[in-house]
Amino acid sequence: MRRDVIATQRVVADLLLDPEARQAWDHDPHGFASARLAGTDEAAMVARLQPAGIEAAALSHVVKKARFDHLHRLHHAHEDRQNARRAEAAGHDHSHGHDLGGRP
Amino acid sequence: MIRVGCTFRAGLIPHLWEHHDLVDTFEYSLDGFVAAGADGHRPAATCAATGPLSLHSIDLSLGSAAARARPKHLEEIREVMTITGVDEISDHLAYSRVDDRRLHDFAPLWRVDEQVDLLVENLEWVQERIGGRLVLDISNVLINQVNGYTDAADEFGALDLDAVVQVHLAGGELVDGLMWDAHSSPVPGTDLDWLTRLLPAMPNCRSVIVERDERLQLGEELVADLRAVRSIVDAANTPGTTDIVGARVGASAPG
Repeated sequence: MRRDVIATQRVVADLLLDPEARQAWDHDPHGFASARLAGTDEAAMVARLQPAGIEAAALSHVVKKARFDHLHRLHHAHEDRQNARRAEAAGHDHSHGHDLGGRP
Repeated sequence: MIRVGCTFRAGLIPHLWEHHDLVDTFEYSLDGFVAAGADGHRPAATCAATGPLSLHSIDLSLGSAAARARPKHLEEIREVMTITGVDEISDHLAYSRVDDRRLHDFAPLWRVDEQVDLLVENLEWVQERIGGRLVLDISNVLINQVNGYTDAADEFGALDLDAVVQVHLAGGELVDGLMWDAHSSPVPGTDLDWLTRLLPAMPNCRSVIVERDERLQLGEELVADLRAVRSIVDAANTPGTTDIVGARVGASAPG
């Protein structure tokens, strides 16, 4: 019987990303894991994860996501400004060409 | 010839300005170039024009099925590698994506055969597209030992060091009894001792990178690290000055 690594990763991701899942797991690790994973090895692994490690990793995720989102916003703001400048320049070129073309 | 280098961080430049002789190569964030799309190609080429560089990735998620879900990402990586003339990149034996969810951190691998199978499938798939060999993060293995998860000597003895093309070192941070690979403090002496022992057994190693991402204001710590690493690498680069480690040594770097 092959262990389902992908299913356990999904549950670990739930624990890191979802405070409610974390709370349920913290309250009853074995019950939580058994309800979500069919395999006994998989459930045992998730039930045995260290609470301090999960808490630290979840907090790290929050901090890094905030930093990532901030940089992502800066990047998009920069792109928007660049696009606006390009559009403005293209608009000028177009009107300029149009004017020239319209002259006798 | 093994090169010595460190993470490229703008905040480190003032500290390194007078010590450029210590740095043969900078390690850049590959994902920064890739995320910028075509706009990232010019800065990537500019960085490559200044000298040899290394590219470090954090987003391949080699340990999860998500590694094979983004072929376009690999195409973009390939483009940056071509532009920079780099023929290898580094990433982590960990996972940071599950399905379409991003973890923003590295989750360690479950040490079971099925996980190894998945990892190998992913590595082969990635290597078919962009090539690649092994980076040994000595500090990562030693941090795992400090946290009680592994025996570093066993880890170092388990893998084939012929495949190692780059070594990573960094100083961690102890938080609530747990050591983190935070890249925020000086490289511990233990890590340098292991580098001294292992480097002569890595005939294909091309560079040793000191990773430093936090507390950049203390750049003199990085300078001291680079000096120490330089000394070890110079010895390894000079034939006849080092003893080859007799035992088969090697390591993986989970996360």
